[in-house]
Amino acid sequence: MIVMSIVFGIIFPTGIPNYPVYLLCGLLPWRFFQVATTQSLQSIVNNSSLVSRVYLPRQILVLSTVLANLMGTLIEFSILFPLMLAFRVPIRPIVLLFVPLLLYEFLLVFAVSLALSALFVFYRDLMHLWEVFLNIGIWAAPVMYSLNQLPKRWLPFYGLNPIVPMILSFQNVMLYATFPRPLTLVQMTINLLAALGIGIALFKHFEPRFADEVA
Amino acid sequence: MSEPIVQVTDVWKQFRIPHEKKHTIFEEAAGLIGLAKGRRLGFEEFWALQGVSFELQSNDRLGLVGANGSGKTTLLKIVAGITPPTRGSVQVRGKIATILQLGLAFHPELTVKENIQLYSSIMGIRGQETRRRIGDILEFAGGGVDQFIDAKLKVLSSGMQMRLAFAVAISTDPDIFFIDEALAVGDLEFQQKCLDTFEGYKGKKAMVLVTHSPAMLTRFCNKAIWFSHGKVAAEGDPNEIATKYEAFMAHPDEVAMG
Repeated sequence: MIVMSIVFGIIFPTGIPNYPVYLLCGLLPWRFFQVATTQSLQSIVNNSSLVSRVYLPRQILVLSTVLANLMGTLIEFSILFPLMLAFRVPIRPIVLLFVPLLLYEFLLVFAVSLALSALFVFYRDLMHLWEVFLNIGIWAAPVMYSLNQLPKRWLPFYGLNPIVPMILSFQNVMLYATFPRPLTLVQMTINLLAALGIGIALFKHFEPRFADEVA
Repeated sequence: MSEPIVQVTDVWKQFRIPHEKKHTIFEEAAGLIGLAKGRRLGFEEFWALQGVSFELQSNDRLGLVGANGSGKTTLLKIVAGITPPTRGSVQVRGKIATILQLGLAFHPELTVKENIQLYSSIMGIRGQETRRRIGDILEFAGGGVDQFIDAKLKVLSSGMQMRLAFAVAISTDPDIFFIDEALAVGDLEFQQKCLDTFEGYKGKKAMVLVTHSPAMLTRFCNKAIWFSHGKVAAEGDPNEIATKYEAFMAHPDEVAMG
């Protein structure tokens, strides 16, 4: 975080006011997504002794990994508020919207994790593919720079990155004290429903074969 | 007789024996290209269970015998809900404790205490209740397991892990016990202790015991099933099955299958 603040705040100035705060508003939700999905990817395979020796709803293994990461993220968020004070960013009641936003992200991460953990049982190189994907992902999202700096015709492509509307909402609520735009909320809803649909379907499809495969 | 506690109806289970190891997306993609070239790919079907049916009453002690690979463990896993049958149906009315292949659903990286808590909570016992029982569990396990309460499970010897598994499984007070060759690892003292405990369950709890010892069958069970190649080869009185099974195992080639 500090390194990025120096690089993009001083060496290659992005011109975003209160850059460290801006950075953290995007980086914290991004890190939750990145770390939680990477860990839960392995949650079924790493708990093979539980999967192959007793019956329990296997979603719990994924859920517990995501929940543990949510706790970590809550702790990380606690550095954001002192930073906002230090940069004299006004803290308005609207920042409390970060709680429903985090809940939203929790559901999104859970849905993605369900799909990843089920696929990883059968395709073990998924871990490396996902890593590459995430490395691209952070640059394809307005975390370190702002969408305002981009040519207008690029913007439609950002709609394709499913976590962009969520990150924009975090920045709006925390830094700019504005309510997310209706279009952003619609995009967020569509992304979540799609992720849940795919995640649950994949998990349901593969779950019966977990015990045979990881034993 | 009342309603059976376990009813297994015409269960079939198919496994796939892959002829090609495909564990990555890359290999899967390469396989598709190979397929396009007309190479033969894929897997062989292996039927681990072929139309198995049986019933278990709430006070039965069923013994399962059969050669290695005849489907005994697969059957237990299906009844316990760990893996679904390919065909057929299973109905269970009660809580099952499964001691499969030297251990419960233990996690090697967690401590002994955490494992006790984990398994108990999976079996639906509240945290407070488990904390109250931990002393009893360790006492039953004996064998110095209590010294290792805060050590990772993986440092325990296999005998100690097995002692712990039995102690925890018994403490969760299930309706049905599935025990898969697990007793063999324990020393004589612990085997005797477990047998005495199970003796006390006679007529109260259902048990399914996978064993290779005819003595266990005759001493312990009131029913026996002999498995062969995924089918029920013989079923009935344990003494009779034990004699047949022993004779068959001594000269597998000469005696015709029951």
